[in-house]
Amino acid sequence: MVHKTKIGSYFVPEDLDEMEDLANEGEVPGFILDEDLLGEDIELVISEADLRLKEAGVRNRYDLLAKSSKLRDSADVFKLVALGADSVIMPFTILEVAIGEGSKGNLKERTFNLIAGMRKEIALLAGSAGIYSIQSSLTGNRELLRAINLNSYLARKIRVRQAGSL
Amino acid sequence: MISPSGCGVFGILRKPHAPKIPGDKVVTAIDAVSYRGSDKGAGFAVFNKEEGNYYYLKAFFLDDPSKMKRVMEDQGLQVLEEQVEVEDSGVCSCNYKVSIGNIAQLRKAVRNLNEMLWPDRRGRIYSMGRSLNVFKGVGYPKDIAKIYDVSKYSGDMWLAHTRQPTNSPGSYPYWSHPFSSFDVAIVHNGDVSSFGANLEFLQSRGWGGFVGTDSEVMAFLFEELISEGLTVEEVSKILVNPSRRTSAISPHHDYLYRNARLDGPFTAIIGYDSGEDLYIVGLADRSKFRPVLIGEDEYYYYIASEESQIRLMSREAKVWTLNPGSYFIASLKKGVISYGRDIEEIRSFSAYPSFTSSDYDIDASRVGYKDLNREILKTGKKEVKVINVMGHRYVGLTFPRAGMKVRLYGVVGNAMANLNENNEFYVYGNVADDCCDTMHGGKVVITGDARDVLAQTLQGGKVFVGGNAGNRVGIQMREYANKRPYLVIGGRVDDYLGEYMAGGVIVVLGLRVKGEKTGNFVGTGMVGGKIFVRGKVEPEKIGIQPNRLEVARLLKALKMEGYIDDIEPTSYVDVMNRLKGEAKKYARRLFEEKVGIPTYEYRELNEEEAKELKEILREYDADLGTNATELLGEKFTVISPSRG
Repeated sequence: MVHKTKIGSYFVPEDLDEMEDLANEGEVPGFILDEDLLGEDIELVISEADLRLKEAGVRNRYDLLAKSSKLRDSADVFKLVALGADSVIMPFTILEVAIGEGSKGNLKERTFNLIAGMRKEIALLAGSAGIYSIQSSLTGNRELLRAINLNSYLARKIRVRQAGSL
Repeated sequence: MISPSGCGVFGILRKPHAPKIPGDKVVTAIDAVSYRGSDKGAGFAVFNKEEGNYYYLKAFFLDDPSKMKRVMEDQGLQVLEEQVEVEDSGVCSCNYKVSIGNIAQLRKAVRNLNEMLWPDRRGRIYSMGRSLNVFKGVGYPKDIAKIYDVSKYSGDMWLAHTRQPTNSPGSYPYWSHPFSSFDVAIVHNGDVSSFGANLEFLQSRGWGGFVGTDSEVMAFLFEELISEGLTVEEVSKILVNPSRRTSAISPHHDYLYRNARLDGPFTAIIGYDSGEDLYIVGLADRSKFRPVLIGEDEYYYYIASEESQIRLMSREAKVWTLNPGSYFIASLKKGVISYGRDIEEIRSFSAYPSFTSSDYDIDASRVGYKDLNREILKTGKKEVKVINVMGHRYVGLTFPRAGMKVRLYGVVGNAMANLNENNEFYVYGNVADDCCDTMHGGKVVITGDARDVLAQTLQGGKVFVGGNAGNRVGIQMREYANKRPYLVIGGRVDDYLGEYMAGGVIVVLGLRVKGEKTGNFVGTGMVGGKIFVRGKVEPEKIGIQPNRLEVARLLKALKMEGYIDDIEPTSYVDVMNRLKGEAKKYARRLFEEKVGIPTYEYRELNEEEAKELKEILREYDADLGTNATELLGEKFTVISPSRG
């Protein structure tokens, strides 16, 4: 098979079948799943990719990276990790917003604030979920998520229970 | 009165030359802390090593027991014997002896059975092993012991549990501890917040049919990792999930077994029969949010929630606590494999207390765990001497505001001298968790060790400990008006000393230890007061600091931007001392919370400090027969709030 797209050493599959084929071949360190390329909500894509690799019994040999132009804040990151992503690539948009249009302030300063702020927010979210170790305890931990106003078909699909469930 | 608590656990393993452990002793040891649990579940697991070619399976079944055998045989199991052990509230417990044809096939059959029976709650295989026998049900430990007649058994190793259900119901015996997998049994106190991630890991490896209690995953994870070919110690290390800054797990295992590690507060005891040997494992989470004591005497190893459980069986056992994020492992044939602490540190724990003294007023051995206050007040005396204290709780809570002086011999339970105003307590022995909480005045003297959360929000009076103290000691200490509290520890302390401290003075003397005198994260988030530790504390132990990798990355970025020249990436505190101006501000903004990392100095005491401490230590010496005052000329590590 010819691999068309590649960022660094990760592959960017065009659909999940391609990802699974590559995973079974075993020569890939991980995958970048791009919502803009795949055309489906990133939450569904990531969760399904995670479950398919688990089904194949090879999940822990690969990194799954989520990428989308629609992501905005640290809660998006936290949610995607809980649905199975190892890492999340934030879009350039948030940097533009953080820097601010027509801003006269120090751009470097604002970028730094954005990164430092997100770092602390993720630590706070982990604290309220009762976990220390993001990589080990949060990745794929759907038990920490609950669905609100999500139709039951989608909730089942990403294996997240309705709010109020024990 | 209902007093909510955690669960209670107990484990015991015999040494090769020791006799087997009778069940009634184990019942006594878990019953001693049945106030930690409720009537919503208890259980026992006994391992009895024997040379046989059989497996024993035990099942809860809601249907006609005779059907179960057929279901098992349909799965290809060869059932040699079956027996209905107990029928209780509509659930029967049945025992099956099956021949070991092919062990892989047996495992598969049991997994299939549980996946089949569990979804509509028809039944559950809950105990499986060559030498393992689990007894569990709904009730207090004594009730379960009675139903199964536990005292008629004896064994090489036992686990026991009393349950306070937190995240699955307690109405059926399925959810009671111990949880068992092949030749593995576990009991657990706490919550596993990584539960969801652990389930995913197990499911991805073909496990299913979970009863839904967080503790259950421990048994399955243990079996899964052992069957990967890892040793008991490697598995324990992965499960206990130590902080990455310790580099305890190799990067390869770290990556491969992500989702197989435990997070959240837990104390767990695991029993395992490898076929050649029996292992007992005690795990403490990295913040040690649940109590755990390890004991050893000539014949046995003990793991318990409270010291009184061990002392009831062996008054003279050597007792110590697990370091946060560590594990104790011992086996029948190999002895201790991991102590869960530095050997030097274990030596520094106090010797067993004398439980008696002449001319006492009260013998506490027949007084209920929360009735000691009443007995003390009933004497009508101002000075009362009590012997044989064994885990009695809340001592001093109902005393008048001032004027009482009690002397306690033995091991005092949780929550002694809480809210104490002006009474005095002298303990000749050790004290359990949460002593001197929110004390406003008076004095507490402990000749032995104190455990976790000693002197939380201490805001007046003096607390003197002769031996060691545990985790999170002196947190949120404060001072107001003319009140200034003093906490002096003769031995060493574990992590989070003086966390969120706002006032008062803590002194750690380290009289009995050669090595480190404190654990990590000293003075995290402190905003007032001062901590003095005799000798040098490594700067990396102060506050919560970023690890070296993160520091190195920041230094690289600062250099790229031209803020600094080359700075060698050492500990964060060291680096901060060398950074200036903008570079320092960036580091602080990235890594520190508002209150910052405390100020660290290693120096001789100044005149004012020496004068204040001299007065306190003179009193300490008089009470404990030490010569601490003479040490004031030495160098101390002085930790105070961040200067911003």
